[in-house]
Amino acid sequence: MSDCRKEYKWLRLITGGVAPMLLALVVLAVASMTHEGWEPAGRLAGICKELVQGTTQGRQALAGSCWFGPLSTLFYLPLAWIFSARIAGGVAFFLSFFLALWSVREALKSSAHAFTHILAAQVGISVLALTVIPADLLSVNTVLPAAFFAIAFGSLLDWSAQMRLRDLVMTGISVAMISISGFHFFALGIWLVLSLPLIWFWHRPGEPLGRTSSAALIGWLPVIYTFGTWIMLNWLIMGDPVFFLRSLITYGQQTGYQLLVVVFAPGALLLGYLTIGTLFYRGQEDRVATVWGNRLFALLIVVAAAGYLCGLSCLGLAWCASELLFSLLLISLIFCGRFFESRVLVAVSSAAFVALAIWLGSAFTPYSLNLPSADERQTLRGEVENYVRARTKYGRVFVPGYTGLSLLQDYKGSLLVPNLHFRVNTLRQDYFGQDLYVLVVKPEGVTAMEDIFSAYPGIYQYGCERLLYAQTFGEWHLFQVVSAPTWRELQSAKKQLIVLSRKLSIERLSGFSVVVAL
Amino acid sequence: MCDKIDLGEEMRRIIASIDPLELSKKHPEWSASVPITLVQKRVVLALFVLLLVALVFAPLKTAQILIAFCTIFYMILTLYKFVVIRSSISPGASINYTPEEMAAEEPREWPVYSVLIPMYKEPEVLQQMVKAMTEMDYPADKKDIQFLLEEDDDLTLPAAMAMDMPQGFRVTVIPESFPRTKPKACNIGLYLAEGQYLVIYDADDIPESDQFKKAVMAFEHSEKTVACVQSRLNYYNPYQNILTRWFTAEYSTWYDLQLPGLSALHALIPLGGTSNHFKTKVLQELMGWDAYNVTEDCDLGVRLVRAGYATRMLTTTTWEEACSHLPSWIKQRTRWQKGYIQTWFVHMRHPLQLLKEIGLVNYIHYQLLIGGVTFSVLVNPIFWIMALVWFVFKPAGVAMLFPGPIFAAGAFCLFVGNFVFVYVTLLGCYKRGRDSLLWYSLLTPIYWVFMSVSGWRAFFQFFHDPFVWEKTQHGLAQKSEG
Repeated sequence: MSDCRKEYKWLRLITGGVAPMLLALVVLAVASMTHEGWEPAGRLAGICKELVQGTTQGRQALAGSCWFGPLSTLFYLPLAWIFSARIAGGVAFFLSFFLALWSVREALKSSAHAFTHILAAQVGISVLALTVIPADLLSVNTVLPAAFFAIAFGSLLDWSAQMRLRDLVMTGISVAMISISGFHFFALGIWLVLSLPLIWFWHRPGEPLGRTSSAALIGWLPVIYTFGTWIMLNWLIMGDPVFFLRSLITYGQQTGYQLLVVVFAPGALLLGYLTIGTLFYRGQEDRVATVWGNRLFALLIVVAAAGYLCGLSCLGLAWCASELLFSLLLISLIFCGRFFESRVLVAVSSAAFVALAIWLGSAFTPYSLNLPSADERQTLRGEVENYVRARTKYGRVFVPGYTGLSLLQDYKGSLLVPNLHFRVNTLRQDYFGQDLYVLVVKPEGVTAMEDIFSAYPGIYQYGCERLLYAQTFGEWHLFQVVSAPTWRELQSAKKQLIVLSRKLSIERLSGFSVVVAL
Repeated sequence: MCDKIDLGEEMRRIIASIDPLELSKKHPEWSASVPITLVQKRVVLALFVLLLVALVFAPLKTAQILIAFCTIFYMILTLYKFVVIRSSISPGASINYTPEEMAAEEPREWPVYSVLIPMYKEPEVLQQMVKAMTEMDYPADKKDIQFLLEEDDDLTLPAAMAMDMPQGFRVTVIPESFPRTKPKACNIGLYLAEGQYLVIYDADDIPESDQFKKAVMAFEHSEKTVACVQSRLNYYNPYQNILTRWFTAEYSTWYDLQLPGLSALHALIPLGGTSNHFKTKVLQELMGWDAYNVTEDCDLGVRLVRAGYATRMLTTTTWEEACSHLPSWIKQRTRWQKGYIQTWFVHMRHPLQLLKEIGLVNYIHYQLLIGGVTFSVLVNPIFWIMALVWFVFKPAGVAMLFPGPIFAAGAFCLFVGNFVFVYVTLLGCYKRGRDSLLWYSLLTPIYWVFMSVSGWRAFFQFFHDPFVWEKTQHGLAQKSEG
């Protein structure tokens, strides 16, 4: 084996194996020690607990919301089967963080001074993950989509430079994974595949249309198929193919569809900068890129990213912005490493992006999920159980939504029950004769996207038909499901009684008349 | 001066002295002359009885175990396919020579190259074949082309006699004997071959003109253990109808992606039936092809590995005719599937010995490529029916057959596995430059139904009529651009 090849193998082993592994372990260890009550799996543990048990709630949770995409759940599920909850969370986080660092390596391996850039980027990402990202957002849900973003971006740049089939395939598949991560990820990722034909036309203007459509089909088919499968799963599980998009529609109605503008306007900018950037980028040997083109490209990234995050924060979706921050950080560092040859320029531009990330992290994404720790969950459950048991022996407390699954992830009792598709009348019929309660979390940030708030707007503040306010437990309100007939039902029953009594009166009168006649 | 048909006594004596069944006589354990041994019959019967008993006494548990086994197998097959396709992009996947490298070889002395072309009642393609061989970019005096014609072929023999064949071309008449198979004819031609290297072509083949030179260079530049180089096959009538489109898509995937992937992994390669280039001496040492195996090429690929030799892929294409007639296609595919079953049973007579000879990795390749593919086409229809019933009626019975993790694995195979197999077909077409075939590739699942029909036909034919060779009719193609 030649010396060059041996050296390359060593570098590949270090940057693609040893360094990501060590750094992932360090991040896992430090986060566990410094973030009290940190749970690396986030809400996945609760979802997968139901899936492992084969319950309907588990299947509904897998597919039922565009904000909680199935990607992370499917990634975590095999680990949930094999390991205990604690170990599975750690293993899942380690694997996803390793994948993120490995993907950065793959994206930067063709850059100038690759070894230095890769190691610096990997170390920088690890440090920033511990310092910039809020503790309860540092989870598989944030890291895994970021890894696929990095793969997609790197592959797109490679494809633009060399037009290799493998890069086209990797772009398509990684964006397909992004499309099932969550709506906020999908809205960004979709622009990567939409730019494929533009790049093709620019680099190969003389190619026949058939070839272009073939390339587009290969790039787009994974996304179309994956998203289509998600729709089909909703049809099979929820009975409604667009059930997972309902909260989006409701949210859109509430905000006047500003969300779509926020999402797609910067998305168009992102498309522009991705296209310009990839058009300028032609690999290290044959570069058409100009200094000003690169700087314009970088500026567009900054404007688009900041605008997107600001817009999301203004619409009360700061938690989305935090999850996206890690992805955008990876993409930015890849951009700096690929587009600038000079080490100084790479360092300066990377530092600028890092500073921006820290500023965005502190100024526009102060939100954290406020997920209760294990002790807090136990305390809350205990209080609710005591309250309900003091009032009835035949009670059942439903905890709707993904937040409910998180609350009950380590619950062994039977009083509290998760419920993804909360409908009062359905529960009354299914649990006829039992005293039913509903425990509703405050709709704030990610919890505001739960299906229950689409079906019953204002339920947290006012309850709804058949729900009477019972008690408050911190951020949670407990409601009792009332079994008495409603006013409408009473009116309807009253009308029927009147009709029946008139009928009876007429018959009696008729009978009396007959007797009289006789 | 061309070599015409020589039916003289000398030639008859020479041919009579050649034993085309040498392999089956000297090493019956390597031959499909006995399709399934007594021990294998007993094992199959025992398993069948065990299955019946289990189904009677514990039907649900047995069904769950069988389905779990099949589901895990499908998952492994999906992942295997991904690994092989991923390997196909490695630098060493296929031996390739640029025109500059070819030109740099000249001038040089090229070795004699033997070509075997077995034909039977195919006078319509004889002219085409002669033209293709004449146009091969190789010194005329170094070509040793043999047309292997059966003695009772009253169509092709007279046509060959009537032709004025160029230098280096000759006809070898194969005496009538059982079995009447292509490999038997090729074995006779093998022992009459004069070349250092040898290739076998089908009657309808049109190889690229520089194929001989590329093969010679490949042998000379490869390790000594490389005894065979396989060319890529594709069709010159891809757009004739939807069947030829699917067939071309399948071939593009197999020869442009999967076989190069196997080559990159240094894996056992099931040879294609044509355009296999050999070192003649090695082939003679291995006693040629198994005359009783209806896919003698696949079997030879395994025997090469067992003998310590290797096969590599060569970046050159041979164009042939895709079967455009569905009944003929089913017969052809039945023969191929039956041959795979034959090959699997032959080499699994002593499974531990096979493992020792080819190693664990190649053993896994063997099980998945030869046995696994056959197994999958047989069980596919069962799972398709179950999936369809479940989607339409959602009966509890189907759900009971897929407990917990098996359900998840089954869902993975259904949604991910099927997509991978279809997507890989698209990639094969794209790589081959057959852009319009990509859209037809999306309908590949329909094509799989035909494959399963052939698979079950092959399964029954293996037990009922193992040596029957349903010959593919050539000459039906409407040629399009190559």
